[in-house]
Amino acid sequence: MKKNGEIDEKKQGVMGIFRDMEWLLHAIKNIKERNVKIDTVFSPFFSHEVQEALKLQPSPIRYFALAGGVLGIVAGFGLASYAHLEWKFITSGKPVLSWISFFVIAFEGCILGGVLATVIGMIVKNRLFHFRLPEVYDSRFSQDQFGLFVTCQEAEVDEVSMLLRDSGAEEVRVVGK
Amino acid sequence: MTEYADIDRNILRMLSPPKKPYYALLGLCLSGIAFGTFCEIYQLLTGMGNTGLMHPVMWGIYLISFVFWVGIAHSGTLISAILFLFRASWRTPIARSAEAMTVFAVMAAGIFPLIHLGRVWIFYWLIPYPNQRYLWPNFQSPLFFDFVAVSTYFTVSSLFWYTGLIPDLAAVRDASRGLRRKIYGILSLGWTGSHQQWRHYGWAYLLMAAFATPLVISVHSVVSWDFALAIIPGYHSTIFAPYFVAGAIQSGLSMVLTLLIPLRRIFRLEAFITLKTLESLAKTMIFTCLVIGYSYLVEYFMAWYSGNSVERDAFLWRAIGDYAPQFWIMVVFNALLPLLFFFKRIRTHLGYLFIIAILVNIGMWFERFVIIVGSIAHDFDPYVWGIYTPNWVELGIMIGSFSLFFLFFLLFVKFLPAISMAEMKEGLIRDIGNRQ
Repeated sequence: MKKNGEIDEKKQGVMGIFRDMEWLLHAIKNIKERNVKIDTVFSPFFSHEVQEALKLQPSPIRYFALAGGVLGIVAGFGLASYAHLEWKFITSGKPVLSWISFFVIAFEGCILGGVLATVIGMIVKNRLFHFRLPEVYDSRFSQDQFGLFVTCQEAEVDEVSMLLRDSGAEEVRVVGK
Repeated sequence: MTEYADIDRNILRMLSPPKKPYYALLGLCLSGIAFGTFCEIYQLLTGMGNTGLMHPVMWGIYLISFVFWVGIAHSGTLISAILFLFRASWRTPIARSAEAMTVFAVMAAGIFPLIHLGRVWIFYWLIPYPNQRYLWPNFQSPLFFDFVAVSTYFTVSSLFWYTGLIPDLAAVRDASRGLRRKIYGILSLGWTGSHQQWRHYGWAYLLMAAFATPLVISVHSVVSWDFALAIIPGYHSTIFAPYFVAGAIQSGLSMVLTLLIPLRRIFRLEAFITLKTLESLAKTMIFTCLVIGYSYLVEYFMAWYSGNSVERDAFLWRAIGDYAPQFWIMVVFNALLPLLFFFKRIRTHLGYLFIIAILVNIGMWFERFVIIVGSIAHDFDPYVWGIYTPNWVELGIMIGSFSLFFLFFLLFVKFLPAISMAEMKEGLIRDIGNRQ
């Protein structure tokens, strides 16, 4: 699987389908102990336990959010300042650049910039707008089943299949053969 | 069938073809929108003079409706974003509907500054871009703050709502066939639920909730400054920001109750939207009611304490003048009625909850009436004191906005999962873990 979330359709391996998350976590532990490469874990909901079991690092989306927020503040102050220098709307002796009121614009700009950047980050990292579903995907993964796709060579398929069955997989499927 | 599949089945059955009462409600909403559109076209052709707006009251129903709808929107974000950060699990079954309510309420709110302009076709003058007129909007003006804040709020709420929908849209895709599958396939953007996708999604949702949280406070504070940055008594008050935000949350919570109690009954969602959830909403309303009551008292205290005769007279007139009935409806429905929720028997009774929610909605509408109209009808100069009575054009447009809001909600309930299936399943695992 590519780091950015896209699943390589042409990989060869074994898919184990689990009904229970306990068995899934058990299987992940067993697979990791045997040093077999876990490609993808599918689940119908977000699970901290799965994320921890796979030892995943925090998402880099937070850097997108930070950059977007900072850009938003700068854009807010920048736009308001530029507009007021271009069209000097001087009233009641107030300064041309009344920066206190510009804080409101900058604040909203920060939030807008941060959210837009977060969404862009999520689309990029999750490779969304990629409408063709991978071969390994099963529609039950969005309902009530969990999937554990493990990549291996053809010679290892039987061993891996047995490992998944022993770890509690209800169904085991060979992919890409 | 697993418990997860049970959740899917119960929520997805809401998307099945509707029965006759649904079509009747749809027809009613469409009629309301048609009437509202007719009123707006009439106004565009004949001018703002054909409304009830007249000196001194140049801000009437349109501004009241604007503030009313923006206020309602805030509670949705409180429930979906702020309570998410607080890990309040009671929010899960109602968060999706509450956020939908936010998006639709902001859409309803957004049309009013345009209608209120009169010359709707020049609304683009508000947009800050270099133009051949060499004009820029005034960045110091709260009216411009409004444009920035409300458009940001709409963008952020829509994106937050849609992001939360993506995994559920994938679930609907996988449970569908044919054209329906294709449509939901496009809407779900190719979501597969892989661990990497959930990793990025989890962070994105958390960050968006964190960004949306300050909007709950800031947007309605900005709207309140439309009034507080003016100088007339009744408007010019530093308490407006927290006062309006508390009022917004109160009106939003009452609208959530107004929508969810029938929804729960019609679609038999008692297992998801439990009485405990509705009770939690009622308890939150006690808090907002106390803040609003305090605000009413402080305004009166400061009017008296200031010794300012104009301020004192303005507030006395509110209580005993031409708009006294509206004032007392406001006080009783907003500051006193929700206190009944202190009694468990009342806050756990669906009938009382629904009735009090409707009355609070009415009370909050009248609060905006009393503040907006009541202040400008009776400000500094007795020569220009006057009375405002909305006419059929304004009331028609307001009815149109209510119809638009309810139409959006009706469509939402039939085409999108009204309860977050992924979060309900996640909650199930957490509950099983807690029990063990």
